[in-house]
Amino acid sequence: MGHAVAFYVFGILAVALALATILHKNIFKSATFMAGMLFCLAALFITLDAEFLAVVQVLVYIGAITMLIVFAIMLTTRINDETRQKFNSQLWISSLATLGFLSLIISVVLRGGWGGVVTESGSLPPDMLGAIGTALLSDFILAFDVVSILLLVALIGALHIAKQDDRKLYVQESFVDDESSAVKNHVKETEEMHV
Amino acid sequence: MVPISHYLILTAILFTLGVIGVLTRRNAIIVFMCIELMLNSVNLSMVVFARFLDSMDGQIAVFLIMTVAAAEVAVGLALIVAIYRKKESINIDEMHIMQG
Repeated sequence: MGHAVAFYVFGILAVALALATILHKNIFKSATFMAGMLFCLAALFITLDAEFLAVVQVLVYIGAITMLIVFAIMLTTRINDETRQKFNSQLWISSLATLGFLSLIISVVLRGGWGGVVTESGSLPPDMLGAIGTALLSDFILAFDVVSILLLVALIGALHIAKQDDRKLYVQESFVDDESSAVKNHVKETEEMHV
Repeated sequence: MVPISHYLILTAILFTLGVIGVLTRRNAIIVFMCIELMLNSVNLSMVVFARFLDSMDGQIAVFLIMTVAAAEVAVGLALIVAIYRKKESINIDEMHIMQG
C-alpha cells in the first residue's frame, strides 16, 4: 500500500515539475524545477529497490549536473529578460506530433501484455550494492573502462573548448608586444649608430 | 502493488514532455535540461524492467547512462558558453552558421 502511494505521489509530482520546467519563463526557476523532478525520480528508484541508483541520482544529477547548468545560466543569460519570446514557431505542430507519439506508446503499452505487477518484495539479491560492484568489474568491465575514458576525454575537451579564445588572444598580444619593442630597440640602435 | 504499465506510461509522459521542450523552446540551456529529462525517463523505464525481470543488468546500464550524461553535459555547456562569447546570444533559432 505504501508502495503504491509513493508511486502515485512522486509520479504525479514528477510530471507536474517537468511541465513547469518546460513552461516557466524564468530559466533559473526552470532549473530549480528540474532539480525537484530529478529528486522525484530518485524517490521512484527507491520504490523499485534501486537504492544505489537513487543515491547516484541525487549526487550526480542534482549535485553536479544541475549545478553546472546553474553556472551556465549565470554565465550566459540575462535572467530578468522576460520580454523575449520563449517558444519558436513550431509550438503547435510539434506538440500535436509528440502527443500523437505519446498516445501511440500508451496504446502499445496497454495492448502489449505488460499486465505484470511490481510487488512489494522482489527477488533481487539482498546485497545489491556488492552485486553491482562485482558485475561492473567482471562482466561489464569493458563498458566500465570505455565510459571512464569517455568521461576523461569529455572533461578535457570541455576545458579546451571553454578556454581556447582567451589563450589565443593572450599569446598574440604578448607576441605583438615583444615584436614591437624589438623593432623599437633596433630603431634606437640604428639612430645611435647614425648619430 | 502498482501495475507495470503505470510505470511505463509515466516514463512515456516524461519522455514526451522532454521532446516537446526540445522542439519548441528557444533557449539552448532549456533544450539541454529537456534532453536530461528524456535521459532520465529512459533510466526510469530501465530500472522498472530490471525490477520486473529480477535482473541486475538494467541497473548497471542506468549507471553507465548517467556517466555518459555527465560527460555530455560538460561538453555541451562548454559549447554553449563558447557560443555565447562569440554571438552574445544562446537563442537556438539564431544558430544557423553551419547551415549550408
